[in-house]
Amino acid sequence: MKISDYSENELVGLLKRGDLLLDLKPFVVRICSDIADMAHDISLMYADFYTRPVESFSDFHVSVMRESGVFNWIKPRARFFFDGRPSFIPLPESQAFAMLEWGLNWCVAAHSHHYLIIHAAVVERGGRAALLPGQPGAGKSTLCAGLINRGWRLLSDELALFDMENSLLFGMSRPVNLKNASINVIKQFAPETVMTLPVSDTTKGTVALMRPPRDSVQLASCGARPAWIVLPNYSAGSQPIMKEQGRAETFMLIAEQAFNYDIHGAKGFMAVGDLVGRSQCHRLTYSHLDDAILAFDELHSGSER
Amino acid sequence: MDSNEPITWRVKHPEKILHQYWEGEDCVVVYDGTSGNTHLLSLFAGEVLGLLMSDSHTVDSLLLAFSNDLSGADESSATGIIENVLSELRNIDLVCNINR
Amino acid sequence: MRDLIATALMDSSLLLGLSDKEWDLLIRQGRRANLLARLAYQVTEKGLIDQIPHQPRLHLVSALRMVERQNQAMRWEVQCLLRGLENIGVEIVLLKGAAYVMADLPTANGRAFSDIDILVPKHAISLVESQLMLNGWQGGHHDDYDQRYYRQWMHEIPPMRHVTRGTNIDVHHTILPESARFKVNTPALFEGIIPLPGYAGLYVLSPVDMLLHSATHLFHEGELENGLRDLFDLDSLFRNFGQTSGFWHRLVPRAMELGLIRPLHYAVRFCTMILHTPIPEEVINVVNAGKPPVWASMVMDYCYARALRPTHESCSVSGTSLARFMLYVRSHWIRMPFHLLLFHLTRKALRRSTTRSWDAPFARDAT
Repeated sequence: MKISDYSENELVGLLKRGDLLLDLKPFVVRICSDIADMAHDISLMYADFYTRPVESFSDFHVSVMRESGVFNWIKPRARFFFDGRPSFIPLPESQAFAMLEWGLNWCVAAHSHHYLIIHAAVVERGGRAALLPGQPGAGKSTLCAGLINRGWRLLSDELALFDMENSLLFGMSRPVNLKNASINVIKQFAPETVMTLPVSDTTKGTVALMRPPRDSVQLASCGARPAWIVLPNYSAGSQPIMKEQGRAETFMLIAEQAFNYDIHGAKGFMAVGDLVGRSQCHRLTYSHLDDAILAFDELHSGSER
Repeated sequence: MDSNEPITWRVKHPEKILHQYWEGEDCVVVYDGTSGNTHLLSLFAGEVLGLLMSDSHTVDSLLLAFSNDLSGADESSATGIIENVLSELRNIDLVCNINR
Repeated sequence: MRDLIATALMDSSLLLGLSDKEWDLLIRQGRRANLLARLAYQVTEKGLIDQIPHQPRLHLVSALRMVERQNQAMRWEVQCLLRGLENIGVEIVLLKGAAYVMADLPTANGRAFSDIDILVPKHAISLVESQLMLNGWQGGHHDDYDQRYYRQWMHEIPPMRHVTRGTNIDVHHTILPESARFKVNTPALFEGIIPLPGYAGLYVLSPVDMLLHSATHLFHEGELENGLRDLFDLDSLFRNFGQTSGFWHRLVPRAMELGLIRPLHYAVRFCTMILHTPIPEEVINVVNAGKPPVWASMVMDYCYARALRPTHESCSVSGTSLARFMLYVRSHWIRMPFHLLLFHLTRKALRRSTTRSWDAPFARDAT
């Protein structure tokens, strides 16, 4: 069943019982929560996703539960659990959905060592994927959100899953994380997008999540061939410059951004080399989103010639 | 140890070292299967490493092997360059000397 | 009643008939018990890995990869340690995981070890400590209480951490604290050490002593989150060493000589009871000499039957929390004189609630 086929009440019940199995291709996650707004946020953000039967195998069991304790009636807090074990510090209950998203990212990144997992956005067009590694402050999420509203397919805004056997990139097409100023930038850039209400005072500032495009969600199980690695470099006031970057240097940047590079040892070394070898490597300096999108379009049309 | 004996360098486990290089670039990436570490080396350092993987060398034999590349430098500068590279490679545990 | 993860480890062929729901439970238990990688290794060894359903198989593969990397890192760490401590003329005895990995024991298969534990003669502790510091290891930020706790009452100096590699090393001078109620015959322990082939200056305990140490560690340990995993280690040691000639014959007399008959008794009892470890009848009978009084025996059975299970809600029955708490207190009771115990426990409880830190959301080191 699709999430949008459930009423919010039904979702509340499923979440309370811990019987909501969400299909996040290639993973299945069992979600449990006693937090009031969780059902609403899930129905909004995951409307186009499917559930799995309750007897199915889940890769991860996650819970976001209200904390009990003396001060929690004044400032309600929530905590994330993975396979029954509490993880992370508790956060204000208003951040529960964001905590679910971050927690899911952590589950995948820390426990899926059949992939090489890179902290990067991945978008695809014409069968070819662009990888945007996630240096802090680079603006990859904003850029990703912009691109997927201008013809590129979303694979992921945070976690690139590289299938080392087949040299394919995958993502889960999950909601996109936007922070601070980029929330309004994207609202103006693409007024039709659906977002959660912004939540302030998180460790990342003010955060909102953007619903992934339906087409992207429907194609989530399709991998994409790596074609470009673009290191975004947001620099206020600058002209857009797409500059070629050496592969060896890009290799080190990717290895650094790969959560489990070290675990894969020699295999990881060869896999990053494979990924980098198949891609044109660039650094993009930009200040306006429109300029950046244009630069990407040029990359794409350049490769079609 | 005889103090007149020149220091001889080599790679301890060459079979555990992998490298990747892309044509036209000035750097090479190297994986060391013993320590599990990955390194970005200058092309020159990579070539010194490559030589030491197939045979042990002293500073003098390396000077000879790279005489063309170092032709612009006088002997003490060239020796300094070689010694710096060896020191860098030893600090990251890629090479060791075998005189001990 | 045996948990699914324990059953699966005892007989991998059972895995072939599991439903999705049972696989779901198995992965959960295996993760919490830190036994997924061990299961993965066994399944691969028996050639069954391709028959495991796709999704659970990926988790087994993932866990095994992680462990293999950690063991590679352990080997490198031991090399670095050797370089740091060579030529100081001290026998360095590798304990626990470091020993299993370096001696290529089957106990190391599918088993992650991160920290290194070494045993050195008591008179050499300062020398070893200063040599480690010269080579990049640093004592943690421990206050005076912690320093005293470790040095005076325990059997080790405070754990040291390497500044660049971030790895930890525990340096012991015996295997149970000096302040403990049960005294270990440490000189006899050192007499039995065996040189590690290919690594001059490094030693491991003899097979019998290695097993006794593992038993002592498990049955004096207070925090049993990994109790089942450690029990499987013991099972592996029994099975592996049990094939070497003279092992069973030497086991009990040596335990008596070292003062470790009680932990050996528990090891034999719980390994045979829970894991059906094949131990000769004669040994079981003789080891009962180390039995505690009947009332204590019943309490220990109650506690360990609960505590030696994965810390997953599916493995929790009434009394589990109490059992774990009692064993936690007991382990400290064994380690220190009573008048110090209360002070220590209160202080540790206070410290834990103020300094406990969880991984920050999306921390890079979360693996």
